[in-house]
Amino acid sequence: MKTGYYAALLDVVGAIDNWRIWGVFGWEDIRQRYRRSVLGPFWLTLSTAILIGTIGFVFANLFGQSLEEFFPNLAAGLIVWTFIRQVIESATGVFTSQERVIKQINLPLTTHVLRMIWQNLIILGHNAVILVVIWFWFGLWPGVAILQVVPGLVLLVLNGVWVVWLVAIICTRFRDVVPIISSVMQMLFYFTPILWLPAMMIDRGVGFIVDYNPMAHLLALVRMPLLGQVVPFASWAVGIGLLVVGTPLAWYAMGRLRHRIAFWL
Amino acid sequence: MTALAEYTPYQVAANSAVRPRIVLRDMTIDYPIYSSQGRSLKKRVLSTATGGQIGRDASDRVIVRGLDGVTLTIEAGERVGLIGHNGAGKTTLLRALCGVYAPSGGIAEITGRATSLIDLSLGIEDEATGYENIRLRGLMMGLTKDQIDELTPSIEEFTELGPYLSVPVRTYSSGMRLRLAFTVSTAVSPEILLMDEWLSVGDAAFREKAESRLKEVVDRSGILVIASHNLGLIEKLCTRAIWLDHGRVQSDGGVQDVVESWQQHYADRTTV
Repeated sequence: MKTGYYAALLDVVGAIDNWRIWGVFGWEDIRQRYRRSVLGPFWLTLSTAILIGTIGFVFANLFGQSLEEFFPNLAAGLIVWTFIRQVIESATGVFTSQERVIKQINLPLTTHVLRMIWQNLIILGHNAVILVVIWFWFGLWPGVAILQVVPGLVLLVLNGVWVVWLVAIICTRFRDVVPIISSVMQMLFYFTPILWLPAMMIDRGVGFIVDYNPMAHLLALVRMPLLGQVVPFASWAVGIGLLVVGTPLAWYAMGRLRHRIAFWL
Repeated sequence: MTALAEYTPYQVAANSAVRPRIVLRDMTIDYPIYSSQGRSLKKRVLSTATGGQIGRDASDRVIVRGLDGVTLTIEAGERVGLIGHNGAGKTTLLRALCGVYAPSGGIAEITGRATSLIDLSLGIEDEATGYENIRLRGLMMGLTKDQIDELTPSIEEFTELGPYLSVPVRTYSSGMRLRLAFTVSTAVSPEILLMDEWLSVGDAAFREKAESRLKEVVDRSGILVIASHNLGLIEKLCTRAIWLDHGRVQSDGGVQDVVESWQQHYADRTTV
Protein backbone atom coordinates (compact mmCIF):
# COMPACT_ATOMS: atom_id res chain seq x y z
CA MET A 1 0.00 0.00 0.00
CA LYS A 2 1.34 3.38 -1.02
CA THR A 3 1.47 6.13 1.53
CA GLY A 4 0.73 9.81 1.41
CA TYR A 5 -1.87 12.30 0.23
CA TYR A 6 -1.57 11.52 -3.44
CA ALA A 7 -2.11 7.84 -2.71
CA ALA A 8 -5.17 8.79 -0.69
CA LEU A 9 -6.54 10.57 -3.73
CA LEU A 10 -5.80 7.54 -5.89
CA ASP A 11 -7.61 5.42 -3.34
CA VAL A 12 -10.79 7.44 -3.88
CA VAL A 13 -10.39 7.48 -7.67
CA GLY A 14 -9.71 3.75 -7.69
CA ALA A 15 -12.78 3.08 -5.58
CA ILE A 16 -15.01 5.08 -7.90
CA ASP A 17 -13.53 3.16 -10.80
CA ASN A 18 -14.39 -0.05 -8.95
CA TRP A 19 -18.08 0.79 -8.90
CA ARG A 20 -18.93 -2.68 -10.09
CA ILE A 21 -17.45 -4.20 -6.98
CA TRP A 22 -19.22 -2.05 -4.42
CA GLY A 23 -22.31 -1.87 -6.57
CA VAL A 24 -22.74 -5.63 -6.53
CA PHE A 25 -21.56 -6.20 -2.97
CA GLY A 26 -23.82 -3.46 -1.61
CA TRP A 27 -26.80 -5.36 -2.99
CA GLU A 28 -25.30 -8.64 -1.94
CA ASP A 29 -25.03 -7.50 1.69
CA ILE A 30 -28.77 -6.90 1.73
CA ARG A 31 -29.68 -10.05 -0.17
CA GLN A 32 -27.54 -12.03 2.21
CA ARG A 33 -29.47 -10.80 5.19
CA TYR A 34 -32.85 -11.68 3.73
CA ARG A 35 -31.94 -14.62 1.62
CA ARG A 36 -34.48 -17.13 2.80
CA SER A 37 -37.27 -14.72 3.61
CA VAL A 38 -40.28 -14.13 1.42
CA LEU A 39 -40.56 -10.37 1.86
CA GLY A 40 -36.82 -9.90 1.58
CA PRO A 41 -35.59 -6.34 1.98
CA PHE A 42 -39.16 -5.17 2.31
CA TRP A 43 -38.94 -6.35 5.89
CA LEU A 44 -36.96 -3.18 6.39
CA THR A 45 -39.78 -1.15 4.91
CA LEU A 46 -42.32 -2.94 7.04
CA SER A 47 -40.46 -2.45 10.29
CA THR A 48 -39.86 1.22 9.51
CA ALA A 49 -43.54 1.61 8.69
CA ILE A 50 -44.56 0.04 12.00
CA LEU A 51 -42.17 2.32 13.85
CA ILE A 52 -43.50 5.41 12.09
CA GLY A 53 -47.09 4.36 12.70
CA THR A 54 -46.54 3.79 16.40
CA ILE A 55 -44.51 6.92 17.08
CA GLY A 56 -46.82 8.97 14.90
CA PHE A 57 -49.92 7.90 16.79
CA VAL A 58 -48.42 8.36 20.26
CA PHE A 59 -46.62 11.64 19.69
CA ALA A 60 -49.32 13.33 17.64
CA ASN A 61 -51.70 12.72 20.54
CA LEU A 62 -49.11 13.66 23.13
CA PHE A 63 -48.33 16.97 21.48
CA GLY A 64 -51.95 17.57 20.50
CA GLN A 65 -50.91 17.82 16.86
CA SER A 66 -53.05 17.03 13.87
CA LEU A 67 -52.03 13.85 12.16
CA GLU A 68 -52.00 15.57 8.76
CA GLU A 69 -49.23 17.88 9.87
CA PHE A 70 -47.28 15.63 12.18
CA PHE A 71 -47.31 12.33 10.34
CA PRO A 72 -45.68 13.23 7.00
CA ASN A 73 -43.00 15.23 8.80
CA LEU A 74 -42.24 12.33 11.09
CA ALA A 75 -42.21 9.77 8.31
CA ALA A 76 -39.90 11.74 6.02
CA GLY A 77 -37.70 12.74 8.95
CA LEU A 78 -37.37 9.25 10.34
CA ILE A 79 -36.62 7.68 6.97
CA VAL A 80 -33.86 10.15 6.18
CA TRP A 81 -32.56 10.00 9.74
CA THR A 82 -32.40 6.20 9.59
CA PHE A 83 -30.15 6.54 6.57
CA ILE A 84 -27.88 9.07 8.26
CA ARG A 85 -27.67 7.09 11.48
CA GLN A 86 -27.02 3.78 9.75
CA VAL A 87 -24.26 5.25 7.63
CA ILE A 88 -22.46 6.83 10.58
CA GLU A 89 -22.90 3.86 12.89
CA SER A 90 -21.79 1.41 10.21
CA ALA A 91 -18.78 3.63 9.63
CA THR A 92 -17.42 2.53 13.00
CA GLY A 93 -17.04 -1.01 11.69
CA VAL A 94 -16.57 -0.42 8.00
CA PHE A 95 -12.97 -1.64 8.12
CA THR A 96 -13.11 -4.04 11.05
CA SER A 97 -15.95 -5.95 9.41
CA GLN A 98 -13.90 -6.27 6.23
CA GLU A 99 -10.72 -7.30 8.01
CA ARG A 100 -10.24 -10.48 6.02
CA VAL A 101 -10.60 -8.71 2.69
CA ILE A 102 -8.37 -5.81 3.70
CA LYS A 103 -5.61 -8.13 4.89
CA GLN A 104 -5.61 -10.11 1.69
CA ILE A 105 -6.63 -7.93 -1.23
CA ASN A 106 -5.10 -4.60 -2.05
CA LEU A 107 -8.41 -2.98 -2.88
CA PRO A 108 -8.75 0.79 -2.48
CA LEU A 109 -10.13 1.18 1.03
CA THR A 110 -12.72 3.69 -0.15
CA THR A 111 -14.35 0.74 -1.92
CA HIS A 112 -15.53 -0.52 1.47
CA VAL A 113 -16.82 2.94 2.36
CA LEU A 114 -18.80 3.25 -0.85
CA ARG A 115 -20.13 -0.28 -0.51
CA MET A 116 -21.57 0.54 2.89
CA ILE A 117 -23.05 3.87 1.77
CA TRP A 118 -24.51 2.26 -1.33
CA GLN A 119 -26.06 -0.48 0.78
CA ASN A 120 -27.76 2.15 2.92
CA LEU A 121 -28.94 4.06 -0.12
CA ILE A 122 -30.66 0.91 -1.32
CA ILE A 123 -32.34 0.57 2.07
CA LEU A 124 -33.36 4.23 1.85
CA GLY A 125 -34.94 3.47 -1.49
CA HIS A 126 -36.96 0.64 0.04
CA ASN A 127 -38.11 2.85 2.88
CA ALA A 128 -39.14 5.58 0.47
CA VAL A 129 -42.10 3.37 -0.47
CA ILE A 130 -43.65 4.40 2.85
CA LEU A 131 -43.57 8.04 1.77
CA VAL A 132 -45.42 7.26 -1.40
CA VAL A 133 -48.13 5.62 0.69
CA ILE A 134 -48.28 8.69 2.91
CA TRP A 135 -48.53 11.04 -0.07
CA PHE A 136 -51.51 9.03 -1.22
CA TRP A 137 -53.11 8.78 2.18
CA PHE A 138 -52.94 12.46 3.02
CA GLY A 139 -53.26 13.60 -0.57
CA LEU A 140 -50.04 15.61 -0.32
CA TRP A 141 -48.15 15.76 -3.58
CA PRO A 142 -44.74 17.33 -3.31
CA GLY A 143 -44.88 18.78 -6.85
CA VAL A 144 -41.78 20.19 -8.51
CA ALA A 145 -40.17 20.81 -5.14
CA ILE A 146 -39.29 17.12 -5.11
CA LEU A 147 -36.60 17.78 -7.71
CA GLN A 148 -34.48 19.34 -4.97
CA VAL A 149 -34.09 15.86 -3.58
CA VAL A 150 -31.40 15.11 -6.16
CA PRO A 151 -28.88 17.80 -5.17
CA GLY A 152 -29.94 17.37 -1.56
CA LEU A 153 -29.16 13.68 -1.51
CA VAL A 154 -25.91 14.19 -3.42
CA LEU A 155 -24.79 16.74 -0.86
CA LEU A 156 -25.80 14.46 2.00
CA VAL A 157 -23.91 11.50 0.51
CA LEU A 158 -20.77 13.54 -0.22
CA ASN A 159 -20.77 14.72 3.36
CA GLY A 160 -21.30 11.09 4.32
CA VAL A 161 -18.09 10.04 2.57
CA TRP A 162 -15.82 12.30 4.59
CA VAL A 163 -17.64 11.64 7.86
CA VAL A 164 -17.42 7.89 7.29
CA TRP A 165 -13.71 8.07 6.53
CA LEU A 166 -12.98 10.08 9.66
CA VAL A 167 -15.18 7.97 11.92
CA ALA A 168 -13.78 4.78 10.41
CA ILE A 169 -10.16 5.79 10.97
CA ILE A 170 -10.79 6.84 14.56
CA CYS A 171 -12.90 3.80 15.41
CA THR A 172 -10.50 1.30 13.83
CA ARG A 173 -7.68 2.70 15.93
CA PHE A 174 -9.58 3.46 19.12
CA ARG A 175 -12.16 0.79 19.70
CA ASP A 176 -14.01 2.49 22.50
CA VAL A 177 -15.06 5.39 20.33
CA VAL A 178 -17.62 3.00 18.81
CA PRO A 179 -20.12 3.26 21.69
CA ILE A 180 -19.44 6.99 21.93
CA ILE A 181 -20.55 7.40 18.34
CA SER A 182 -23.81 5.59 18.96
CA SER A 183 -24.45 7.72 22.06
CA VAL A 184 -23.80 10.88 20.07
CA MET A 185 -26.18 9.71 17.38
CA GLN A 186 -28.82 9.00 19.99
CA MET A 187 -28.36 12.49 21.38
CA LEU A 188 -28.56 14.08 17.93
CA PHE A 189 -31.75 12.17 17.29
CA TYR A 190 -33.49 14.07 20.07
CA PHE A 191 -31.89 17.40 19.20
CA THR A 192 -32.97 17.17 15.58
CA PRO A 193 -36.56 17.88 14.55
CA ILE A 194 -37.72 14.34 13.85
CA LEU A 195 -40.02 13.47 16.72
CA TRP A 196 -41.05 17.09 17.02
CA LEU A 197 -41.76 19.95 14.65
CA PRO A 198 -39.38 22.92 14.49
CA ALA A 199 -42.30 25.25 15.23
CA MET A 200 -42.74 23.65 18.66
CA MET A 201 -39.24 24.71 19.72
CA ILE A 202 -39.46 28.15 18.17
CA ASP A 203 -42.70 28.75 20.08
CA ARG A 204 -40.90 27.93 23.29
CA GLY A 205 -38.02 30.24 22.49
CA VAL A 206 -35.43 27.52 21.92
CA GLY A 207 -35.41 27.72 18.14
CA PHE A 208 -31.61 27.83 18.19
CA ILE A 209 -31.43 24.06 18.53
CA VAL A 210 -32.87 23.89 15.03
CA ASP A 211 -31.04 26.85 13.54
CA TYR A 212 -27.58 25.97 14.85
CA ASN A 213 -27.87 22.22 14.47
CA PRO A 214 -25.93 21.09 11.41
CA MET A 215 -27.72 17.75 11.51
CA ALA A 216 -31.09 19.52 11.24
CA HIS A 217 -29.86 21.27 8.10
CA LEU A 218 -28.48 18.08 6.56
CA LEU A 219 -31.75 16.35 7.29
CA ALA A 220 -33.70 19.23 5.78
CA LEU A 221 -31.78 18.88 2.50
CA VAL A 222 -33.63 15.66 1.77
CA ARG A 223 -36.67 15.83 3.98
CA MET A 224 -38.08 19.15 2.83
CA PRO A 225 -38.13 18.24 -0.88
CA LEU A 226 -39.92 15.01 0.05
CA LEU A 227 -42.60 17.10 1.74
CA GLY A 228 -42.85 19.49 -1.18
CA GLN A 229 -41.18 22.31 0.71
CA VAL A 230 -38.45 24.60 -0.54
CA VAL A 231 -35.12 23.97 1.16
CA PRO A 232 -33.97 27.25 2.73
CA PHE A 233 -30.71 28.82 1.65
CA ALA A 234 -29.24 28.29 5.13
CA SER A 235 -29.47 24.52 4.77
CA TRP A 236 -27.73 24.49 1.39
CA ALA A 237 -25.05 26.73 2.84
CA VAL A 238 -24.54 24.46 5.84
CA GLY A 239 -24.40 21.38 3.61
CA ILE A 240 -21.81 22.92 1.30
CA GLY A 241 -19.92 24.47 4.20
CA LEU A 242 -19.57 21.13 5.98
CA LEU A 243 -18.31 19.55 2.78
CA VAL A 244 -15.72 22.27 2.27
CA VAL A 245 -14.48 21.99 5.83
CA GLY A 246 -14.76 18.22 6.26
CA THR A 247 -13.27 16.93 3.05
CA PRO A 248 -9.77 18.35 3.57
CA LEU A 249 -9.90 17.11 7.14
CA ALA A 250 -10.69 13.57 6.05
CA TRP A 251 -8.10 13.79 3.29
CA TYR A 252 -5.49 14.84 5.80
CA ALA A 253 -6.35 11.89 8.04
CA MET A 254 -6.31 9.53 5.06
CA GLY A 255 -2.96 10.78 3.85
CA ARG A 256 -1.44 10.31 7.26
CA LEU A 257 -3.10 7.12 8.43
CA ARG A 258 -4.71 5.18 5.60
CA HIS A 259 -1.75 2.85 5.11
CA ARG A 260 -1.75 1.96 8.79
CA ILE A 261 -5.31 0.69 8.86
CA ALA A 262 -4.29 -2.85 7.84
CA PHE A 263 -2.04 -2.99 10.90
CA TRP A 264 -4.77 -1.83 13.24
CA LEU A 265 -7.16 -4.59 12.29
CA MET B 1 -6.77 12.26 -15.93
CA THR B 2 -3.15 12.94 -16.80
CA ALA B 3 -2.63 14.12 -13.26
CA LEU B 4 -3.30 10.59 -12.15
CA ALA B 5 -0.32 9.20 -13.92
CA GLU B 6 0.40 6.60 -11.29
CA TYR B 7 -3.14 5.33 -11.27
CA THR B 8 -3.46 1.71 -12.23
CA PRO B 9 -7.00 0.45 -12.41
CA TYR B 10 -7.88 -2.49 -10.26
CA GLN B 11 -9.76 -4.11 -13.09
CA VAL B 12 -7.84 -6.81 -14.89
CA ALA B 13 -6.84 -5.62 -18.32
CA ALA B 14 -7.78 -7.95 -21.13
CA ASN B 15 -4.26 -8.62 -22.32
CA SER B 16 -1.77 -6.91 -20.15
CA ALA B 17 1.77 -7.83 -20.93
CA VAL B 18 3.40 -6.74 -17.71
CA ARG B 19 6.49 -8.67 -16.79
CA PRO B 20 6.06 -9.16 -13.09
CA ARG B 21 8.95 -8.31 -10.86
CA ILE B 22 9.40 -7.94 -7.14
CA VAL B 23 12.17 -5.79 -5.77
CA LEU B 24 12.53 -5.34 -2.03
CA ARG B 25 15.28 -3.16 -0.70
CA ASP B 26 15.96 -3.20 2.99
CA MET B 27 12.26 -3.51 3.65
CA THR B 28 11.14 -3.43 7.23
CA ILE B 29 7.66 -3.95 8.53
CA ASP B 30 6.77 -2.97 12.07
CA TYR B 31 3.52 -3.98 13.58
CA PRO B 32 2.13 -1.99 16.40
CA ILE B 33 0.43 -4.34 18.82
CA TYR B 34 -2.32 -2.68 20.75
CA SER B 35 -3.49 -4.18 23.97
CA SER B 36 -7.04 -3.49 25.00
CA GLN B 37 -5.60 -0.59 26.96
CA GLY B 38 -3.58 0.70 24.08
CA ARG B 39 -6.69 0.80 21.95
CA SER B 40 -8.54 2.97 24.38
CA LEU B 41 -8.76 6.66 23.72
CA LYS B 42 -9.46 7.34 27.37
CA LYS B 43 -6.12 5.94 28.41
CA ARG B 44 -4.41 8.02 25.85
CA VAL B 45 -6.09 11.20 27.00
CA LEU B 46 -5.25 10.38 30.59
CA SER B 47 -1.68 9.71 29.70
CA THR B 48 -1.19 13.02 27.98
CA ALA B 49 -2.98 14.83 30.76
CA THR B 50 -0.94 13.34 33.54
CA GLY B 51 2.17 12.38 31.64
CA GLY B 52 5.02 10.48 33.21
CA GLN B 53 4.14 7.23 34.84
CA ILE B 54 0.71 6.56 33.47
CA GLY B 55 2.07 7.61 30.12
CA ARG B 56 4.48 4.76 30.21
CA ASP B 57 1.73 2.43 31.29
CA ALA B 58 -0.79 3.61 28.75
CA SER B 59 1.49 3.82 25.79
CA ASP B 60 2.27 0.14 26.15
CA ARG B 61 2.50 -0.05 22.44
CA VAL B 62 4.53 -3.09 21.74
CA ILE B 63 6.12 -2.93 18.36
CA VAL B 64 6.90 -6.17 16.67
CA ARG B 65 9.35 -6.12 13.85
CA GLY B 66 7.66 -8.49 11.44
CA LEU B 67 10.28 -8.14 8.74
CA ASP B 68 13.70 -6.73 9.25
CA GLY B 69 15.74 -5.36 6.37
CA VAL B 70 14.61 -7.79 3.71
CA THR B 71 16.37 -7.31 0.39
CA LEU B 72 15.53 -9.53 -2.53
CA THR B 73 14.58 -9.53 -6.17
CA ILE B 74 12.21 -12.01 -7.72
CA GLU B 75 11.99 -12.16 -11.50
CA ALA B 76 9.25 -13.46 -13.75
CA GLY B 77 9.07 -17.24 -13.94
CA GLU B 78 10.51 -17.87 -10.50
CA ARG B 79 8.72 -20.13 -8.06
CA VAL B 80 9.82 -19.21 -4.61
CA GLY B 81 9.23 -21.24 -1.48
CA LEU B 82 9.28 -19.46 1.87
CA ILE B 83 10.32 -21.54 4.82
CA GLY B 84 10.82 -20.70 8.45
CA HIS B 85 9.41 -21.42 11.86
CA ASN B 86 6.04 -20.12 12.98
CA GLY B 87 6.13 -16.38 13.28
CA ALA B 88 9.25 -16.03 11.15
CA GLY B 89 7.49 -13.47 8.96
CA LYS B 90 6.27 -15.61 6.08
CA THR B 91 2.69 -14.37 6.05
CA THR B 92 3.82 -10.81 6.71
CA LEU B 93 6.06 -11.01 3.68
CA LEU B 94 3.19 -12.32 1.56
CA ARG B 95 0.97 -9.50 2.77
CA ALA B 96 3.63 -6.96 1.94
CA LEU B 97 4.01 -8.50 -1.52
CA CYS B 98 0.32 -8.18 -2.26
CA GLY B 99 0.42 -4.58 -1.18
CA VAL B 100 -1.71 -4.89 1.92
CA TYR B 101 1.05 -3.88 4.32
CA ALA B 102 2.98 -0.74 3.64
CA PRO B 103 6.69 -1.01 4.46
CA SER B 104 7.64 0.90 7.59
CA GLY B 105 11.11 1.30 6.14
CA GLY B 106 12.90 0.53 2.91
CA ILE B 107 11.36 0.07 -0.47
CA ALA B 108 8.97 -2.43 -1.98
CA GLU B 109 8.54 -2.22 -5.74
CA ILE B 110 6.02 -4.68 -7.01
CA THR B 111 5.23 -4.78 -10.71
CA GLY B 112 2.27 -6.83 -11.78
CA ARG B 113 -1.04 -7.84 -10.29
CA ALA B 114 -0.76 -9.93 -7.19
CA THR B 115 -3.42 -12.40 -6.12
CA SER B 116 -3.05 -13.88 -2.73
CA LEU B 117 -4.47 -17.17 -1.62
CA ILE B 118 -3.70 -16.58 2.01
CA ASP B 119 -7.25 -17.20 3.08
CA LEU B 120 -9.04 -19.27 0.48
CA SER B 121 -12.48 -19.02 1.96
CA LEU B 122 -12.43 -15.26 1.55
CA GLY B 123 -15.45 -13.87 -0.18
CA ILE B 124 -17.25 -17.18 -0.24
CA GLU B 125 -20.81 -16.45 0.76
CA ASP B 126 -22.48 -19.41 2.40
CA GLU B 127 -26.00 -18.69 1.31
CA ALA B 128 -25.07 -17.96 -2.29
CA THR B 129 -24.82 -20.73 -4.86
CA GLY B 130 -21.61 -21.91 -6.45
CA TYR B 131 -22.32 -19.90 -9.60
CA GLU B 132 -23.07 -16.75 -7.62
CA ASN B 133 -19.87 -17.23 -5.72
CA ILE B 134 -17.91 -17.52 -8.94
CA ARG B 135 -19.35 -14.16 -9.92
CA LEU B 136 -18.73 -12.53 -6.54
CA ARG B 137 -15.23 -13.74 -6.16
CA GLY B 138 -14.43 -12.91 -9.76
CA LEU B 139 -15.62 -9.35 -9.19
CA MET B 140 -13.59 -9.10 -6.02
CA MET B 141 -10.55 -10.14 -8.04
CA GLY B 142 -11.17 -7.34 -10.49
CA LEU B 143 -12.81 -9.24 -13.33
CA THR B 144 -15.60 -7.72 -15.37
CA LYS B 145 -18.91 -9.47 -15.83
CA ASP B 146 -17.99 -10.49 -19.38
CA GLN B 147 -14.67 -11.91 -18.29
CA ILE B 148 -16.41 -13.92 -15.61
CA ASP B 149 -18.98 -15.26 -18.07
CA GLU B 150 -16.18 -16.27 -20.36
CA LEU B 151 -14.29 -18.08 -17.62
CA THR B 152 -17.27 -19.83 -16.06
CA PRO B 153 -17.28 -22.93 -18.32
CA SER B 154 -13.64 -23.67 -17.59
CA ILE B 155 -14.24 -23.14 -13.89
CA GLU B 156 -17.21 -25.48 -14.04
CA GLU B 157 -15.08 -28.11 -15.66
CA PHE B 158 -12.10 -27.79 -13.36
CA THR B 159 -14.03 -27.89 -10.09
CA GLU B 160 -15.88 -31.05 -11.17
CA LEU B 161 -18.69 -29.88 -8.92
CA GLY B 162 -21.32 -30.27 -11.63
CA PRO B 163 -24.88 -29.68 -10.40
CA TYR B 164 -23.59 -28.65 -6.98
CA LEU B 165 -22.69 -25.28 -8.48
CA SER B 166 -26.38 -24.46 -8.52
CA VAL B 167 -26.95 -25.01 -4.81
CA PRO B 168 -25.88 -22.83 -1.88
CA VAL B 169 -22.29 -23.23 -0.81
CA ARG B 170 -23.34 -23.92 2.77
CA THR B 171 -24.25 -27.43 1.63
CA TYR B 172 -20.69 -28.06 0.42
CA SER B 173 -18.09 -30.09 2.23
CA SER B 174 -14.89 -28.26 3.10
CA GLY B 175 -13.09 -30.01 0.26
CA MET B 176 -15.72 -28.86 -2.21
CA ARG B 177 -15.44 -25.29 -0.97
CA LEU B 178 -11.70 -25.35 -1.46
CA ARG B 179 -12.13 -26.70 -4.96
CA LEU B 180 -14.40 -23.81 -5.81
CA ALA B 181 -12.26 -21.14 -4.18
CA PHE B 182 -9.03 -22.46 -5.59
CA THR B 183 -10.37 -22.76 -9.10
CA VAL B 184 -11.88 -19.28 -9.20
CA SER B 185 -8.80 -17.73 -7.66
CA THR B 186 -6.51 -19.27 -10.21
CA ALA B 187 -8.85 -18.92 -13.18
CA VAL B 188 -7.17 -15.79 -14.40
CA SER B 189 -3.44 -16.13 -14.30
CA PRO B 190 -2.38 -13.47 -11.89
CA GLU B 191 1.02 -12.05 -12.61
CA ILE B 192 2.04 -12.76 -9.06
CA LEU B 193 0.46 -15.59 -7.11
CA LEU B 194 0.96 -15.63 -3.37
CA MET B 195 0.02 -18.67 -1.33
CA ASP B 196 0.18 -19.36 2.34
CA GLU B 197 0.62 -22.98 3.30
CA TRP B 198 -0.19 -25.62 0.82
CA LEU B 199 -3.90 -25.95 0.73
CA SER B 200 -4.96 -29.51 1.07
CA VAL B 201 -7.26 -28.99 -1.84
CA GLY B 202 -9.75 -31.80 -1.76
CA ASP B 203 -8.73 -35.34 -2.47
CA ALA B 204 -5.49 -36.66 -3.90
CA ALA B 205 -6.71 -36.56 -7.48
CA PHE B 206 -7.70 -32.92 -7.24
CA ARG B 207 -4.50 -31.99 -5.47
CA GLU B 208 -2.60 -33.40 -8.39
CA LYS B 209 -4.66 -31.30 -10.76
CA ALA B 210 -4.27 -28.25 -8.58
CA GLU B 211 -0.50 -28.59 -8.54
CA SER B 212 -0.25 -28.83 -12.29
CA ARG B 213 -2.57 -25.85 -12.62
CA LEU B 214 -0.36 -23.85 -10.32
CA LYS B 215 2.69 -24.71 -12.38
CA GLU B 216 0.78 -23.72 -15.48
CA VAL B 217 -0.13 -20.39 -13.96
CA VAL B 218 3.45 -19.70 -13.06
CA ASP B 219 4.73 -20.86 -16.41
CA ARG B 220 2.60 -18.21 -18.07
CA SER B 221 5.39 -15.90 -17.01
CA GLY B 222 4.21 -15.28 -13.50
CA ILE B 223 5.77 -15.36 -10.10
CA LEU B 224 4.75 -17.79 -7.41
CA VAL B 225 5.61 -17.21 -3.79
CA ILE B 226 4.45 -19.95 -1.50
CA ALA B 227 4.93 -20.22 2.23
CA SER B 228 4.90 -23.74 3.55
CA HIS B 229 6.19 -26.05 6.21
CA ASN B 230 5.95 -28.87 3.73
CA LEU B 231 9.54 -29.14 2.50
CA GLY B 232 8.68 -31.94 0.09
CA LEU B 233 6.17 -29.69 -1.62
CA ILE B 234 8.60 -26.83 -1.90
CA GLU B 235 11.20 -29.13 -3.39
CA LYS B 236 8.69 -30.33 -5.90
CA LEU B 237 7.16 -26.98 -6.82
CA CYS B 238 9.80 -24.31 -6.41
CA THR B 239 12.91 -23.16 -8.19
CA ARG B 240 14.19 -21.11 -5.31
CA ALA B 241 13.78 -21.07 -1.56
CA ILE B 242 14.03 -18.36 1.02
CA TRP B 243 14.47 -19.17 4.66
CA LEU B 244 13.13 -16.51 6.96
CA ASP B 245 14.16 -16.36 10.57
CA HIS B 246 12.86 -13.72 12.95
CA GLY B 247 11.92 -11.51 10.05
CA ARG B 248 15.32 -11.70 8.41
CA VAL B 249 16.41 -13.55 5.33
CA GLN B 250 18.60 -16.31 6.72
CA SER B 251 19.31 -18.01 3.48
CA ASP B 252 18.24 -17.49 -0.12
CA GLY B 253 19.08 -19.66 -3.08
CA GLY B 254 18.52 -23.02 -4.71
CA VAL B 255 15.85 -25.13 -3.06
CA GLN B 256 18.21 -27.97 -2.19
CA ASP B 257 20.78 -25.76 -0.49
CA VAL B 258 18.31 -23.74 1.52
CA VAL B 259 16.31 -26.75 2.62
CA GLU B 260 19.46 -28.54 3.66
CA SER B 261 20.80 -25.67 5.68
CA TRP B 262 17.42 -25.27 7.32
CA GLN B 263 17.30 -28.96 8.18
CA GLN B 264 20.87 -28.78 9.42
CA HIS B 265 19.92 -25.86 11.63
CA TYR B 266 17.00 -27.79 13.01
CA ALA B 267 19.05 -30.91 13.59
CA ASP B 268 21.65 -28.88 15.51
CA ARG B 269 19.02 -27.29 17.65
CA THR B 270 17.32 -30.54 18.55
CA THR B 271 20.55 -32.33 19.44
CA VAL B 272 21.69 -29.56 21.77
